Amino acid sequence: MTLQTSIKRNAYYDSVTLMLLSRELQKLDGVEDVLVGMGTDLNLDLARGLGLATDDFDSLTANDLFIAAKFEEDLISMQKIEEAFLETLNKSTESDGDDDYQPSSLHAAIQAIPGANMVVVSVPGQYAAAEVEDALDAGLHVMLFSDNVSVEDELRLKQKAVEKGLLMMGPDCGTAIINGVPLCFANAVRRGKIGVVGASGTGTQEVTVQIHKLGEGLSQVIGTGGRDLKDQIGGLMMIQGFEALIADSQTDVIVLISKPPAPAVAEKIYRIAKDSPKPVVIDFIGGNRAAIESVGAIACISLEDAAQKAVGILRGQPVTDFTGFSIAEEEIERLVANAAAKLKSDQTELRALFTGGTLADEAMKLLGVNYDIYSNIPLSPEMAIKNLPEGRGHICLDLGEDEFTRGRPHPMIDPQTRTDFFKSHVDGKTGVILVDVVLGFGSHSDPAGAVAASVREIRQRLSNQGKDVVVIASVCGTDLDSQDLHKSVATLEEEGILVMPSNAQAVRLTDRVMQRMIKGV
Amino acid sequence: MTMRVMKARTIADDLVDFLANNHGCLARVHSTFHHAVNLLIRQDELITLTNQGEIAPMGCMVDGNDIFKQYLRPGDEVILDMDRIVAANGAFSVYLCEAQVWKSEILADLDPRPLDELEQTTHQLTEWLGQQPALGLLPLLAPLTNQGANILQPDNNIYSRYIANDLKDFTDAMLASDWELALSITDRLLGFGMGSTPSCDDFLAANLLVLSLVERLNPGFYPWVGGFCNTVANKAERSTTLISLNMLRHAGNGKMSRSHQRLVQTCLFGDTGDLKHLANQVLQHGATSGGDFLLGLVCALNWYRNSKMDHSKEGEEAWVESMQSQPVSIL
Amino acid sequence: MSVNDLFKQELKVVNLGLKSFHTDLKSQGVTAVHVNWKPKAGGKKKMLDLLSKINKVK
Repeated sequence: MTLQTSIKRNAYYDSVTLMLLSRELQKLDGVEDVLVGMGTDLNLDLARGLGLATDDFDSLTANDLFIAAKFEEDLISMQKIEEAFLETLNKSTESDGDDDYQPSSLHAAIQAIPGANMVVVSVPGQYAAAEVEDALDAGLHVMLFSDNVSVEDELRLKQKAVEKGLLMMGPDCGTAIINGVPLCFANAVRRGKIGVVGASGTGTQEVTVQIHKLGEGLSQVIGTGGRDLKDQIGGLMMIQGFEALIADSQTDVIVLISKPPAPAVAEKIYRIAKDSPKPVVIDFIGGNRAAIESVGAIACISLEDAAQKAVGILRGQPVTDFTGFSIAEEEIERLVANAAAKLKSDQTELRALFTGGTLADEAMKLLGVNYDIYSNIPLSPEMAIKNLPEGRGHICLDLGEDEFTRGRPHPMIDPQTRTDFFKSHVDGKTGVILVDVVLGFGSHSDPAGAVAASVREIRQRLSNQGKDVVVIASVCGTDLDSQDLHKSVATLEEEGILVMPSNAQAVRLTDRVMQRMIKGV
Repeated sequence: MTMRVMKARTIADDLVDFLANNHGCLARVHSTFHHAVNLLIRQDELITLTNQGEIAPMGCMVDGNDIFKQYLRPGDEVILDMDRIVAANGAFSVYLCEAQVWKSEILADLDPRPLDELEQTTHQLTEWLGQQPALGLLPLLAPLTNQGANILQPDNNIYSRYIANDLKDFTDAMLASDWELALSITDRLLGFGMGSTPSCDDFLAANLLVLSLVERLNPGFYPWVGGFCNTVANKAERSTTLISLNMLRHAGNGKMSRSHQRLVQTCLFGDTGDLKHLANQVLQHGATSGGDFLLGLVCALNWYRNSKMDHSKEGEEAWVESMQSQPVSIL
Repeated sequence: MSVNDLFKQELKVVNLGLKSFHTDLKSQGVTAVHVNWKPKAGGKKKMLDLLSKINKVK
């Protein structure tokens, strides 16, 4: 016979529960005697009188619950008795399972998960900084999805993070994949040897997706938030992430993605790249090629190109700019000819409607050079969308920007915003529609379906005028994403949409069609 | 992500007083249950918020069906303000302004029942109690109310068996008007039994409640009661749970939760409702708390009836003698 | 615990804010807890002031 006592300090259960408990435990096979009670002197006396006393009794106070058991070791263990205790406790609750304590604060949550190492913060901006501070003070890494956090707070928090050797990804950081775990908006990609540090959410997504498509994988994907490489922040997280990847034994090639940094910040990064023992691919979208190459890093002309070069270097292949298409030129020519043939002579306008900011940016950089494109992310101030002459001209919109997401979910989560714009901004003068379709965690369950439905509606509307329209898309997704890449592509193609393998190629195809339409070239 | 706002429906007057004099102070969560939470204030006092059950001293009943266990953990901070109670973690707040105030103390300025009615009531209650399931200390009903039954029955549970003789000693001492002996026997009772309010504490709480009321009803006749109740409360600080300690303190001040209050009022003053219905409401408390309290109540009523008969027998002399009794020493 | 240390550990996540992020993590079998986040003391200035005053005294 074994005697053991289990103690629950400062534990209060209603007496109905305690009574149930005593009965249930007494019934267990192998239990000869058991007493459940509060550790008052008299209750302990009773327990002693029943021959259940153990040394633990000395530490009991009146406000502790004890389970004193005498049992046959061969038939049952104290652990099993404790399990029966918990089971009975759960049974005796009135409602079903979801009665569990839901922590209402970070502090409580950290106590609930021992070994917690990452906090994802997406609370309203004005409260975010305080939560991040608490997380860093508690020694946890942070992914800060929230925006509307001040520059001063961002700087202070990143300095603290760097001091403590912690990640503070954000604010406004939408994408990261740490230890193979996608956080917030990210695609399911295989693990591998390429590490990425990105200041651009969908830009990072596109690069990781392309790397996966090419058959390689990702070691770590670290986000920095959109403002990290501005002067005030000085690239603190880009540098922190960069150095971590240099030190990471599982990373062989490093890719950095961002809009062009402030010059002083770019300098810092180039210096690290220069001394890096591992090859570094730098995509400072539209950035200074010569400066990048002068420190031995590899420059890029698009997000797809960055992925291609990273994969190439990993495989020990020569790296060249990927400027064209992955399908044969004859095929491209056929697509362009067919597309142009669909259009009437007055259908000369572009409507590019993007949900991913960096993808929109890439489109602007490539197309904005050749055409006057009005946008909410214009290449120059006079091309701001508000200057659009009487609604006529080429338009490219980043629908994820603040002005479109006030009081509405982000278009990657809820396609309704873009659906509305399809209706309002596409008419008989539209020649080409260009879109991105972003799959993965965080995204809508069927973004391709939503686009296909909108295109169906447009084509029906235009057919009344005896017209059709050309729609070009790329799908940022993998075969591992829940939205199913192949199904998504099929859904789009069924509506006659031209699906290209990358955003860059979709943009290039758009350029070819527009050239044919406008210049007859 | 907005804070859950609850409205208080009823609030005890002692809690209102406390908040008026201590607004802007911090309480800590002591214990959480599905539909109630106890907050610790000062050294060892408790405030109870609940949305089921009933109003009690230093208590507040709120609307809704929320599960408090989901919002709070022991140790969490709660801010107490004059018009509201706010969980520091932002989980919920309780607005107090429109609550009805409940008088926590039993009124002793009503006309007490005449003795023969009191006897009848006690008898009714005892008989009814004898028909209820014999849980907790209830197997001791017959021997403790002098119905001649054997103190140790085979179907007594382990607790009632263990404590039977001590409880009998206590009730005998009270009936013999040896309150000093009775007081010393409480050392052998406090903290004993099942539950967060151990069975004997519920038993004693009923006694303290009756004692404090009886003292007010008959000023000068029971000068030792104040000291008795205080001493029991002091002893409880070391020998029982915090929740029970608070219950015993309130009982010694003539306060207990509403159903208990109404039942005792009916027994002593008559007609605030149907006796069996009120007794049943008390019986529902906890697994055995209600039954243990009711056992204590019938024992206390027996004592009171007995002592009233003694007093009327002895007349003026007894009154003078008790006025000249030693002042109560608080141990 | 540095960034490189994190790379060697099992990720255990506390999620504050949008529940969908937590749901996605759970669907992948990641250890994660969702915080039913509310602004401290309901975000009301008076309560926050009280709280900070009380905490200073402690």
